[in-house]
Amino acid sequence: MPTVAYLLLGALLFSLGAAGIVLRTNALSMLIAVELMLNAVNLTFVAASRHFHATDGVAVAFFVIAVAAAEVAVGLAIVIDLARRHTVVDVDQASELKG
Amino acid sequence: MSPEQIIFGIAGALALVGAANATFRRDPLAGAISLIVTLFALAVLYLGLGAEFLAAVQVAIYAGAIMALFVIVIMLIGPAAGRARGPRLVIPAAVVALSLFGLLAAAILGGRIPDPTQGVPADDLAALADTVYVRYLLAFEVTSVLLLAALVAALVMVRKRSTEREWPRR
Repeated sequence: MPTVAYLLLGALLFSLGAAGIVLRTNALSMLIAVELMLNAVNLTFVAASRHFHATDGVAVAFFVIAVAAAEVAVGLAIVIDLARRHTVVDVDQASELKG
Repeated sequence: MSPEQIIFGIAGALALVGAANATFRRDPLAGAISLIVTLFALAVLYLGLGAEFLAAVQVAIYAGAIMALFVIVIMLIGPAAGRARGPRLVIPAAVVALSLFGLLAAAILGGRIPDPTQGVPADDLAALADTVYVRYLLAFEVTSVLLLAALVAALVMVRKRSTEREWPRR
């Protein structure tokens, strides 16, 4: 398959993830959309890695997965804290700044 | 049709279906399961692209560990807390997604992708290890610090404060 096909698929997945972030108010669903966007970027990196016969793209994809793990850990901690303060993890309800 | 085209067609379609389901389903649990489907389809695409080790990491760490954590937290806070309202901002979301995809597609199709250079193949594990542990050694070490910081931050955020009320009963 030409590299362009992989790039277009990655762009489609990225756009779907962006739509999910705007569409949803549930913090968990928004985190899932962010994960989708990260994976779309990973697909683009790996496709570029094959296109240029270099391992750099795959290496960057590893770092993206590691950063995604850190992001999920912090994001889910915020979600649990949100569930304690409110009954629903809705981002529109978490509008107060007082700690 | 070559085998790679067949694999791309099936796995790409599966990834898109999972992504659309994760985006448009209201229930976060259904979204998480759909995302796992997308992750597996992407792992198949990585195999087709010659990144076998990344495909294994994708299944073992992304689908296996990260998404398991996701599902555990969804179960922990309960279906009532995870319940979501209907989609809002439908028109802005469509505008964002369509304009973003239009821009990206125009750049991909309109721009000129440089010709492949001769180098090591992407599935060369020794070359990959050299890239990660020699060329990007600083980034690798910084990543370990980042993971530790995220771990500490998550622990600090979820610990129970004495002044706080108990977990709400439902």
